[in-house]
Amino acid sequence: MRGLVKRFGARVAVGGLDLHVAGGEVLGLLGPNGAGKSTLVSCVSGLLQADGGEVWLGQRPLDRSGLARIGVAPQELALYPDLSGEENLRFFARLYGLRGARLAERVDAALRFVGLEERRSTRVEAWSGGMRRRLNLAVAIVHEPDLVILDEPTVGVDPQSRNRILENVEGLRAAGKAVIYTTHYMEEAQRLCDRVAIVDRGRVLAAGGVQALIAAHGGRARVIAERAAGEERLESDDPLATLARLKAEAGGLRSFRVEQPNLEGVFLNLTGRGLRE
Amino acid sequence: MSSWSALGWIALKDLKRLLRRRVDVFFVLVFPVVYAAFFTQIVSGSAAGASRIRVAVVDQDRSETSRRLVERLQGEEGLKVALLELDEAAESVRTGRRAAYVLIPQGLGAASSPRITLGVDPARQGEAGLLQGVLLRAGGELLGGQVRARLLGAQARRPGPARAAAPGALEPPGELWDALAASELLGVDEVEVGAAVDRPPVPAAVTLPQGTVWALLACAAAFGASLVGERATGTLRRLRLAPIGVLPILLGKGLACFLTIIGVCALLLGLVAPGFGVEVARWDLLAMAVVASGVCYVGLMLLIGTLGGTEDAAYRIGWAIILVLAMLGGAMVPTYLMPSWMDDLSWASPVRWSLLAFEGAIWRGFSAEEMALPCAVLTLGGITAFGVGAAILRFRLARGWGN
Repeated sequence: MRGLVKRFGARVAVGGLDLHVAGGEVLGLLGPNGAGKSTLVSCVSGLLQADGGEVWLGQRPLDRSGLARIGVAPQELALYPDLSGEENLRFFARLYGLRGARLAERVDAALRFVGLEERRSTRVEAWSGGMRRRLNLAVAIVHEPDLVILDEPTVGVDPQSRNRILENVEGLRAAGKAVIYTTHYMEEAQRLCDRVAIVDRGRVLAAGGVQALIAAHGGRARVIAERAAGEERLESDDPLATLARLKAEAGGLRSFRVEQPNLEGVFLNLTGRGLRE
Repeated sequence: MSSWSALGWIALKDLKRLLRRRVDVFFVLVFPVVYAAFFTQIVSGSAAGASRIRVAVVDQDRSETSRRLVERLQGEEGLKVALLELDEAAESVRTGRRAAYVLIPQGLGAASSPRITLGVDPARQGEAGLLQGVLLRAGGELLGGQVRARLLGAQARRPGPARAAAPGALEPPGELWDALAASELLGVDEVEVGAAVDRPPVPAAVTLPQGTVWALLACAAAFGASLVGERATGTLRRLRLAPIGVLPILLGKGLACFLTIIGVCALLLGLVAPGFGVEVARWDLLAMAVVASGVCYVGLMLLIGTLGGTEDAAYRIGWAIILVLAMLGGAMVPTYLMPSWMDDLSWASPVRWSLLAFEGAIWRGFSAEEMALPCAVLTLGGITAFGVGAAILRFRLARGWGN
């Protein structure tokens, strides 16, 4: 996407945003609530018409036919609870033109991908939250899209389901799909994303590889030392040297903890610590 | 804090929440007023603009007597009289636009036993009875003098002592003359109009179309609410992500609603109706009426689907609209019991047109030409409502509604 702009009246939700994601790459989209992530996702997936800029998919500007190459797992569980898992998949797959043997094959593959083959015939209303999340993902990929957009896909799921979903995302990357992944869980972004874009107020504040972002915006390591006089917190470029110095000083060193700069630090440094919404 | 003060806070909180839910406020405060106002208008017969029976008068006599009878009927407070030719009058009764017609035949003024014809809508027998009374009274007032003069003349010509010396002592009171004239000299022949069907309609021929219209309204409410539900749960968003556009999504929803309506009509009018003794006069016209009604209520469904933030809210708002349309359209109370202004307004409700179309096909003996008007109104109304609903939905979606 290049120079993407979306306004709602006088409010600029996305203000001239440039981003790209390649096949076999996971792009993390991080930002506080109201940063413009959802609007961005809506523009990229064709739900909203951008007021400026353009979205390209491969070598062509995005048009209606291009939507078939995009799969989206929305944040809400956009499923029909009174249909079975298989019926949900079949219905949505048909909207993308899948029929006959190809339809059956893709439905089977999607159920297998998210580990729901055994529950395929039961109604979704009887499923756990984690299972529904996985089906939400399966619906997004059933038509084999080139670009997969996952909007906070692990919200409210148990650790097992979350782990399965993260493995699924890694599987999509291995299969050569381009993935846009929005989340508020920094450890997920750190684990999954090849590149991360931090968005706020409709603009990209920083983008790049996770380590590069940490190096550029994460600040220094933090040493938390328990000494005779109490707890002491120090920032340091060389934690080992700092610990050695503390040990040598009067008061000694009873225990210590070193916090390396991480993506959460980058996020808070760039977007601030004030509460949003 | 004591349990009793907590009770007060809980009550206050619930009242606050009630007042913040506009739909609940409507049903608790506004709808009862609408309901009460509606039925007050219906039952207060003496109120200004109260129910007036629509009658066509056909004056084939064109005599002084008939002119006076027409004027007398036009002056009757409970009637709304239009002067028409016989064909037009009969058609207006058959198509439900008027309750009856009064035919004043040629030679009424000169006849020794004058008779007029009252052509009534079989579904409106109650009004026919009222009309009989009005006609007898009017006839008595007009013809009483003539009869009295005729009888007195005959009496004077009889042999015997002169009667003229004390006419007052021998003459019956004027009211008696009027009654005599009304009961014995003005005859009212009642004929049922709309009798292309040989047998008279059973009550179910009137009530079953009403029940069917209620079912169609329920379809519109249910599918409209489900559209809102799709938006609220995110499945509408997912549908829009597919490369199919918004219109096919709405048309798909509309098709489901339409097919349900067809199924319901087939069940009620095709299978249940014979059980109630209802025989359909024209199946082809009934099919037209069902299809046109289906189109209309699909449009209504989409309009309902643009209302409310949640499925529940849309369902309740939808029912509020539907109840008003049903009240106005004659699905709760027959339109002939309504004040004239409300009767006129009732044509704005699709319910009235649907009832007319169903009855037209079942027992009113409509021709294809006569069925064309209600069907055209229903179809055009439905297409317009669908278009408006789709435009509202597109406008909102473009502004991030449901994203």
